[in-house]
This record gives sequence, structure tokens and C-alpha cells, in this order.
Amino acid sequence: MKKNTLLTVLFLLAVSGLLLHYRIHNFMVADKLHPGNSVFDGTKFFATLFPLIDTILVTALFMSRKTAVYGYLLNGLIVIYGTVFMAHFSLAEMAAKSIPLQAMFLKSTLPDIGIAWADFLVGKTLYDQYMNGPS
Amino acid sequence: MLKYFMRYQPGWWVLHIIIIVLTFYLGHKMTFTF
Repeated sequence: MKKNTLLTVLFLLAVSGLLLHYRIHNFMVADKLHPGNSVFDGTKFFATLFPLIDTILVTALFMSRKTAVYGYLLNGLIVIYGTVFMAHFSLAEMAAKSIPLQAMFLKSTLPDIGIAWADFLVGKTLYDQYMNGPS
Repeated sequence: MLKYFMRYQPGWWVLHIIIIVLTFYLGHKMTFTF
């Protein structure tokens, strides 16, 4: 029963990440050269693709004990990618917009990286439960 | 030499090489514009 709760948390975190990325960094961006048109942005597409994989594939892999290890691995990989890319994005934004030093901490993607690691740790707990049983 | 490679199964090596290539590819693809 505990497993279902953890699986639900894992799914909710992933789907929320997907929807937030889709809304905030949609991969179809306004074309500055041709007003009214939009162009495909590959970088932002990855920001939607990884949470999509997290939502569908990772949740599916975590449903069974046999495949949970691959779910754990893929979940970890996605979280590490998320951490690196979100940090890079944040640093690039700081450099581009010259954000004052005091605002850097709260305007960074540090809270988002924290949420990503919460997703990883929920996956870890679920994996540990599959392997060792509830403790 | 071979014993170092045989320490892990071939799938382990394939997976890691794919991931390393994917990571470099993603690093190459990412461009943040503001």
C-alpha cells in the first residue's frame, strides 16, 4: 500500500514538472524576425521531453519489482541532467540579465533543483522498498 | 587488459558509453538565449 503512495508521489512530481516546463519554457517560441509566427526551440524541447520520459517511462518501470532498478537508474539520470541544465540555464540568465547579487539566490533555479532531488529520493525510497520490503 | 573489461558485463559498457555520448550530445545541443 505504501508503494502505491510513493508511486503516486513520483508520478505527481513528474507530471507537475512536465506541465510547468511546458507552460514556462514551451518549445514553440515567438519568432522575433517574423512577428505572429513561432519557431521550434530544441533546447526547450528537451526541457519538455525529459519530464515526459520521467512521467511515462519511469512511472511504468517503477510499477514492477523486476524493472524498478531501471526506473531508479533512469530517474537518477534525468534528475542529474535536470540539475546540470537548470543550473546552466540559471547561470546563463544571470549573465545575460545582470541580476544583482542579492537576488541571485532566490531568482536562481535552486528551488527547482531541490524539487528534482525530492523526486529522486522518492524513487530511491520506492526502490529500497521493492528490494528490502517496508521498514 | 581484458580482465578489466570483463569485470563488468558488456551491457554495462554499452549503457555507459551511450549515456556518455548522450551527455556530450546534449551539452553540444543546449543553447540558452535570452
